[in-house]
Amino acid sequence: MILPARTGNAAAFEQIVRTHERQVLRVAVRLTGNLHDGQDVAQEVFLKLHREFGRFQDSSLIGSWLYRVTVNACFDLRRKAKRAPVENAGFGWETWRSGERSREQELAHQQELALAMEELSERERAAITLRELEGLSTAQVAEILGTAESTVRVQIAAARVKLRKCLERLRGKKR
Amino acid sequence: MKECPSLEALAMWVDEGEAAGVSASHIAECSACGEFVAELKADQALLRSSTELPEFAHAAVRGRVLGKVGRTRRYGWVAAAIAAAVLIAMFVPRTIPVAPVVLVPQAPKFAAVEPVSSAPSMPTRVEQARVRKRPAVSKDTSGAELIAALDALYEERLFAAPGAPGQTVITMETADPNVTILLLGETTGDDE
Repeated sequence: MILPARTGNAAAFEQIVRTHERQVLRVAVRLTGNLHDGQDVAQEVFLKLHREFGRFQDSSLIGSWLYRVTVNACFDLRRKAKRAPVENAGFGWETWRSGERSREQELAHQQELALAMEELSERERAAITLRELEGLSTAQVAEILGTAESTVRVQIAAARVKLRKCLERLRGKKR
Repeated sequence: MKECPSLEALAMWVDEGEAAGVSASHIAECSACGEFVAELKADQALLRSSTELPEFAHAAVRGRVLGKVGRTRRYGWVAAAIAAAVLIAMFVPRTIPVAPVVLVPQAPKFAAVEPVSSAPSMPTRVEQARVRKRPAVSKDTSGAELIAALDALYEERLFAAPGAPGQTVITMETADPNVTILLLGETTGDDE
């Protein structure tokens, strides 16, 4: 399908933003560790998409391109900032609590998970996010990260072990 | 019982099963390994069930992106308009009317010239100049004829006041009101 936005149709570009905004922001927030940085990355990614729109012959190519650009933008942001956003990890979801007990518990687990994700290397974090959060295959993750499938398998396994140990430590503290 | 596999091997088993080199029977028989795998699966479920971000978070990004894209488009039109104006200014012939030049003859200030006794009598030359016939000039006049006419006019003006230094200005009006041709001549008064 030829992209209508190539002809400069602003409404078509907005439609593409709406289609992919959850995917991009979800990954960006998970990889940067907080909502604010995630939103900055998502904005940068979509502006880049707008600039390079002529490259795409059809819309099916946009999804994987967005994953790759988002992951790289998150890497760049964290390298530039050189900060440990562990204190801010929590995705900003605390501002969105519904008050339900189940929701509170779920958010508490997500906060723990966010903190544990900070223990991972950027490659491990990206690999496990794309694999588990986005449900991509090992081959797709390898393509997005520009690495071998075997490397991705090792990175994901290492990430699982690190997460488990960190969550154990965090929950042990609370008890 | 076999030796327990590494934690990383157990983590791979979560994804790949026995392809990771860990037997399902060991997981079933070894309580430590079984418990660890169960915890890994719980973590996996937690990762997969990540809470969806609130709508306002997406709306904020969308608003910023579409706002910037819209501004870029508007600035693009402004830049294009400026470029078009520059091109038009460069290539369209200049037809802006110019105010006609008003010639104000200025008599130069010279010191009084003492009469020279050896100077030839000028009336002879004046007579010679005046007898020259000035060709008529019209829009059909050729270039050579125009030059001849100008030459005659120039000499006529120049020798109108023989022996006196001064400037001669001949003004020619053309069909184009914005174009005027000026011929400037000057004598120092000490010729011959």
